[in-house]
Amino acid sequence: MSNTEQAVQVIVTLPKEIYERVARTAAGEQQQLEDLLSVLIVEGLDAHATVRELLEHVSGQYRARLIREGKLDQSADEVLQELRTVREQIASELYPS
Amino acid sequence: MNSIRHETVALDTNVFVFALRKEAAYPACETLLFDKLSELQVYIPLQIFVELQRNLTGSEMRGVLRALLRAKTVTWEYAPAPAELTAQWERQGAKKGDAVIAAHLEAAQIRYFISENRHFLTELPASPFQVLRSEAAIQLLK
Repeated sequence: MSNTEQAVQVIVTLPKEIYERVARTAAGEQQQLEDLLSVLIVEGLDAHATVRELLEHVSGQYRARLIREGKLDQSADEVLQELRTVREQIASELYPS
Repeated sequence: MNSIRHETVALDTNVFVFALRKEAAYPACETLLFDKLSELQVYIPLQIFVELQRNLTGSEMRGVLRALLRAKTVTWEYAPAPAELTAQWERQGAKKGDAVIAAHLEAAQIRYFISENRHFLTELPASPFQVLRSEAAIQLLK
C-alpha cells in the first residue's frame, strides 16, 4: 500500500477462485494485489453508503486540504470570484479563439 | 413555476464547491447535493466537468463521481460546446466561460441551471434556461 503510515495489516482468507480472479485483475491492471484489494473493499463499502455518507467523506478530505492550503477561511464571494477566473481560464484553453 | 422532479437539471461548479466546503452562506448547496441528489436528473457539460477536475484532487473527484452515480440519472457531455452557439452568447454579452455553458445547455435543451452565480442572470437575461439557486431547486423538488 502507498500510505503505510496509516495502514492496518489484516490477514484475509479468500476462496481460491476469488483469489485467482483478484490476482488476474491486478496483473491485468498492473497493480499490486494488495492495492487492488483495498480498492475493492472501499468500493464495496461505498455501495452500502448513502449519498450523504459518500459526500461527507469527500467533504472531509476537501476541507482538510483547504485547511492545509490556507483556503478554508476564504469568503463565499472570494470563492465565487476564483471559480469565475478558473471558468474563463478553462474556456480559453478548451476554445482558443 | 413547475417542479423539477421530472426535468434534467445542470449543476454549476459552485454548487459542488459550496456543498463540499460546507459554506455557511450557501447551506442549501449541501442539502441539495448531499440529501436530494437521488431525486435529481443531472446533466454535466464538459466545461463543468473540467472545472470540477481543476478544483478537486483525483481522489476527491472520484468520490464526487461515485456520488453522482446515485442521481436518478446522470448525463455526461464530453463533446465541446457548439461554437456557433457559444459565439452567439458572447455577442449577447456573456463572458466566454458562461457563454460555453449557455451553449451546452441550449444545445442539450436543458431548462434549469442550478447555480449561485448571480452574474448569469445579469449577463444572460434572455436565456432559454432558468437559473435557480439551490434553495429554490429544493423547493421545486417538493
